[in-house]
Amino acid sequence: MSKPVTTVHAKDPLWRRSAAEIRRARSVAWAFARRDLQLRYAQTRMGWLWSIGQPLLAAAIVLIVFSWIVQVQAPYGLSYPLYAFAALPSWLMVQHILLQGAPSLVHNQHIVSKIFFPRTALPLSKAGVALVDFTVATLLFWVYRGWATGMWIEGLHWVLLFAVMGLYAALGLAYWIAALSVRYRDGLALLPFLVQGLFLLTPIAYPTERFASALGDYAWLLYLNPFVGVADGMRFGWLGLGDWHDFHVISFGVAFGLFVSGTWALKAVERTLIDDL
Amino acid sequence: MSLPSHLAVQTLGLAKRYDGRGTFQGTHYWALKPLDLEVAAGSALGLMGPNGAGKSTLLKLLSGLTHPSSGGYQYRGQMTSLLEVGTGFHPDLSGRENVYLSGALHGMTRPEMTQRMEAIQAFAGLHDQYMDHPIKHYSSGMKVRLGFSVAAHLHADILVVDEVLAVGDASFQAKCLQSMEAQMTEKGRTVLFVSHNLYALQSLCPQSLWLDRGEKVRFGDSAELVTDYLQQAHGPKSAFAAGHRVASGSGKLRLTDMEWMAGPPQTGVTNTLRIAYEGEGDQHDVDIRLNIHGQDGRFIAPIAMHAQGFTPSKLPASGEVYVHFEAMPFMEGWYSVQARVTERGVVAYEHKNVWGFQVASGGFLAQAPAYTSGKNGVHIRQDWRLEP
Repeated sequence: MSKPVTTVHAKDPLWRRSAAEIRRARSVAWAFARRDLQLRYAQTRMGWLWSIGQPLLAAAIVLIVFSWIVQVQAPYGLSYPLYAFAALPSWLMVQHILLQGAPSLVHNQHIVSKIFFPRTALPLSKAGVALVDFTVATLLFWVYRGWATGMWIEGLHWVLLFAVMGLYAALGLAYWIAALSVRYRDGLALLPFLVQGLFLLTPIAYPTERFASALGDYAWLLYLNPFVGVADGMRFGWLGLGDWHDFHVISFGVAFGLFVSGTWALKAVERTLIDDL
Repeated sequence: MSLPSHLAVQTLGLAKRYDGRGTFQGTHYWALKPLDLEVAAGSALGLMGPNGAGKSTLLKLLSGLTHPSSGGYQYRGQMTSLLEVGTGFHPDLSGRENVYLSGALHGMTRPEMTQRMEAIQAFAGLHDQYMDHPIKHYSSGMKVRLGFSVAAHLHADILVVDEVLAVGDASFQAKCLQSMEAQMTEKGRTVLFVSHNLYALQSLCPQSLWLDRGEKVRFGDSAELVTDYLQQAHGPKSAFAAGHRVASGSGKLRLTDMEWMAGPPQTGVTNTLRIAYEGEGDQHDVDIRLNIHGQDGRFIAPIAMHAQGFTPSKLPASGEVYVHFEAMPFMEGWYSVQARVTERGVVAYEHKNVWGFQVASGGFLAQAPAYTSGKNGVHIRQDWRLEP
């Protein structure tokens, strides 16, 4: 008898996560992500063209509202589209993970209540589609930047680094809302406002300096919102704007903290999930 | 705790308590009271009990869907639970992709599923063209077949199955049952099985656990437990004692009692069924029909007054009638009785489950050996000869 014995007891410590469990979470997340990708543009006329169309539409809206109507100026004499669109792909990724990942447990109740798998798998799976979209939008911007500035390979490693930071922060937040949504659906009711608020409070379509100068000495507070760090980082990578300063560390810390605590929160509700959902 | 090597699953004081919240603050109930249970490796254990007995709670605990309130359990090897057929199926995906998805949810990799794809397809009886078609265009039967087929081909040392045989047509149900038997005998799997189909439960599981209101009532031989369980569930006089609240009809005439007069009936032995009734005024053109059902709920045979040529035009307001059986036709097992009484063509009394009785085995003919099938049925008198 070489088969492993699994033991479960009421008094098991809450935080017990085996390597097998993490592997399982990944493979289930991959299966769900695959499903989402396969179904992504089912029954649409344009099909996969939408993954190009969506970021272009988002860019158009930002351009019309912030540049033409509100007349926001990019700093350092940069062209506004170049400045704003640098941070847009990462924001679209964050937005997708939040809007799809946070309600994923509630939306998939029928599966969650019948099969056990690590619950992080569902929100995590939403990162799949988000990453594909991010890649497409990033490629579009890469071509645009290359055409506008002649820079092709500069700063790409920074873009990658800050994209990972955005991914972790968004997943952490999605985990938290998903965990809370098991018992309190309030988070889901607030979700659209949260996403909208984050978009306005994060300097994506306007310069970070405008916000930071309003806070004066407390400018670092801004970076408690990890997505500010992501937006800054994106412009640092793409356009060489700003510098690697202390504030980013705050955002990194918050992103990492959100991810770890969010994973823990989901793990904590896992035990009684189907009793409360 | 260490798990003895002959056991596949062991629970020690395993219990689940639900605490009320909000307006139910301070209330609680035990969905499963502390339970000690041992399931030997390679065996099948049946779980029986009425709704709310704690069967599903036990399965949910074992499959990790919910955490015990006290106590715990251990098991050896990989446990796969099948609480529903086709969980995770997406209507817009093809049959093939759904097989992969469903497999992944149960912890199987894509190559593993590819390996099994042919067998899964064959078991479900689906053609290639269907497998590459979105399952939203499948009939519900096809979906169920595919779902069960996936489950039957997952690798598991312990299979936890809840009420999945309640779906599909009779032939597919039989096929599923066969497959589950094969899982145990050929692959040495351990099966935990919940079903309201007691016939299936009895034929699959040698031993059963009987739960009621979260507590163990008994543990032991399935055949004995099923008989006793049925006797308790629809015990003799149960409907009569219940004061006809569950009966329908005009009420002009009501059945009040039934009894085998020569004691517990035995196959092939003479017996007489006494049927007592009461009512108001003269009873005209009374027809009493008793439909006898086996323990799996299937219809076996009628005991019918008019159909047997007994048509008294008038009976007293209250009284008794008798049905004489020279040789009891029913074979060993438990039978339940559905009654329908008409007076002048109007339904006076109707009850889906008015009474039940147990038949002991015996030779249908004197000196002939008993015919045991392990299933409900009737013995029909037949004339065997060497010439036509």
